[in-house]
Amino acid sequence: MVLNKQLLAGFILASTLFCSQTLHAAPEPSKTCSAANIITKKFPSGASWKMCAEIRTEEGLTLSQIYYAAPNKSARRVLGEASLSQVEAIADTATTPSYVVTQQNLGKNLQTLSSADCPSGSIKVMARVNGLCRNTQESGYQYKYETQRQGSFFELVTHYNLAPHVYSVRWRFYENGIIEPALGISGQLSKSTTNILENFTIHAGWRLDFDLGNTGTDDQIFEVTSTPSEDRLTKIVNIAVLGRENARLQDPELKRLWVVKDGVTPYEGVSVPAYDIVPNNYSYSRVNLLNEPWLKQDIYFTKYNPCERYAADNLLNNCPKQINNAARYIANRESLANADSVVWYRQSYHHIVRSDDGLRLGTIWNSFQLVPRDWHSQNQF
Amino acid sequence: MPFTQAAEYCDDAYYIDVTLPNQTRWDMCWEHRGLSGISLHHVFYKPPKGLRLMVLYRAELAQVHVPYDDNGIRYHDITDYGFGRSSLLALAKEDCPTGQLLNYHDKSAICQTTQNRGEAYRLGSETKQGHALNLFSVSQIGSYSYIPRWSFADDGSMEFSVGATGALQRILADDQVQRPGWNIGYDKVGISHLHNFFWRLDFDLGGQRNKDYVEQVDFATQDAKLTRQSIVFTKETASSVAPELARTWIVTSTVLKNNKKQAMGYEIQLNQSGQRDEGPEIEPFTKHDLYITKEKSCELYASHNLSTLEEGESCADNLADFADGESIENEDIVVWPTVSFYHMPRAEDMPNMDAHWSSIRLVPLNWHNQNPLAR
Repeated sequence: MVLNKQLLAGFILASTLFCSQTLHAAPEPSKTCSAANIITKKFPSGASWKMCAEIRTEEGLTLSQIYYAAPNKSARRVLGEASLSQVEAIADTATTPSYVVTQQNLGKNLQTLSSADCPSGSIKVMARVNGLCRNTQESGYQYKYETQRQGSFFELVTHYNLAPHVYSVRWRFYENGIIEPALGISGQLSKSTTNILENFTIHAGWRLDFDLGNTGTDDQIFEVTSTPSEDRLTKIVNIAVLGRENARLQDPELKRLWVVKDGVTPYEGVSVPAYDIVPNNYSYSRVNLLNEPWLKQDIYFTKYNPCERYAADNLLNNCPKQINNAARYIANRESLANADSVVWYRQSYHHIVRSDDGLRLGTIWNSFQLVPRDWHSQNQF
Repeated sequence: MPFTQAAEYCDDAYYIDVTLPNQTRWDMCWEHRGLSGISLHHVFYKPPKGLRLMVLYRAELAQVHVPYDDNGIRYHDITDYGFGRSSLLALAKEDCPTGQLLNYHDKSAICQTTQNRGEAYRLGSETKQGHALNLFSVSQIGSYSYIPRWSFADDGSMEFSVGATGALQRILADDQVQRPGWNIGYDKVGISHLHNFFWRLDFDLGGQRNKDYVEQVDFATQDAKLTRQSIVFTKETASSVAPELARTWIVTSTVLKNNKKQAMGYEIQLNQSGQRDEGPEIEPFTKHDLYITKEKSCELYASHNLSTLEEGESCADNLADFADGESIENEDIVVWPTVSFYHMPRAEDMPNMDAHWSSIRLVPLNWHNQNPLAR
């Protein structure tokens, strides 16, 4: 194998970044991570995760500079920044939207945890609150064939008390590079004027600023489709670059798959490292009672803009007031070439209220995954 | 000492009776079947302060259909190979490090674990940790190891899943103009393919055979509200997800009522339907996500059912034929939920492919008078 000098230089730079966290190749959140906010996890296999965690008044748990390293491999960055950038929980009879992150300051309501709340993990102080449960769990088989391996994941869990509701934000980082963000809702259901518990929908807007590898400005977004033949016996796979800001819907007919690729440079001389965005909850994905623009698409791809922080109800000071949700962010179809791309995934769930929700609503989790694709030339385990 | 048989419906050796830390009890029988693999029957659920009631009379995996995008082959793994017999692997302690192995004769066939599932609920600082009983087995078919897993939580909910791991079954040289999959490196193409999973669930809520019915519930925007529109199926039928209506399905019993006189039941959630696939004419059983049929002992497999019959027997061949409009009023009904996984291979799938999981959820609806785990 010919060793690419530039690539090697890149690794050295990456490891420097990994240690100091003070330099950023990406043009955004160029803030430092104080030692107290650095979270690392090294599995016995040698696989590791490293990131910077903070609690923001609005979004709550916000992760940045997320690096993954497979056993005996150098760490490479996956995400520059990631957060639950909006939550909307609305009853079936609601007449106005209500935004939990921006209007209720989700993060400000970080719940204090006791050791019983984090039974096999450890609690970390965040924003002066014993609020972050770090935990490692076995996840069963990683693979099983002629040999087998048991896998595990590292998780970060926070809860936000917005009585009578409790929101939970959980990030799972698997040993094999998979990332699984999840939003939980629990608490007590409020009664409407009719004294009847109401059905509700919960919409989550996840902001995922991918910065694969050393450079955050060379990531490319691909849409992979598999078109059935007329007799539906075969499918033709097509890979297209999404060159401009765009918004897309899941489409089972075409099996749309979105892949964020790190520029054009192959890793280990084989393939260009990438991550798949794997949605979930298709069955609820088009519920939109109030006809809100940001709920009309499943996924948005935008060029990084410091004024675009929340998937909806984005009313930052000194920013254009009209450009207040993801549907507006893409309106001018800016080019994503040599730009820092941000992915916004919107996920919905409709809950039918039931007597079983009485006294306490059992925690309902909704999750999705980010899955490495060609991140290494083969399985590292 | 006199011999006492604890299980009512099977030999004690095939009886699972677990009380989880919050005092929820699940008990059931299991058996080995040549084609279905592990089959569960007489599944009972008892909340901490409630009655022990039957939920499922029988539950098993009814097909794993794996068509490849180049149409090179279309596997029907359950009927054509079978998940039982020699496909069903003997598990070692390392396969089940935190659990207990259950034997079918002298083969360790099932790993049984109790798993912490995190917080069951939270209100302010008041919270309770939840748990679930998990059962899994492993069936090796070709290059794949399939892991059917049955999870029973202490709030009465169930999650049935199948993991697929092993190795890519079909890899080609990357020499075609139209690549039928993904270049996984080294000039190789992993052929993209589907795993269509089908379950056969014979609910007998409260142990009553002919009292279950299935309701399809939609929520349409009307008069500025999400308005519930429901259909009770009176005939065998097939139905599909409708994301604009948040469509869901509820199995309820006409004879079981909670203390508000609401019909007790289970909601069937098909969250992972985003990769649903309607196949060719020759595979009409792929057209829908959920089928409801009248129970017939010869209708066991979602497809290739005919191939499993003995000489002289007659039956219908697949789900599309099973669901042919017979009345299901006051009949024993069977629900067939499906989920699809579309696998676009990646370099990481070689040499060992990490497990990918597909699941369906069954969630109690008006089963308890209040949250069964709340004080």
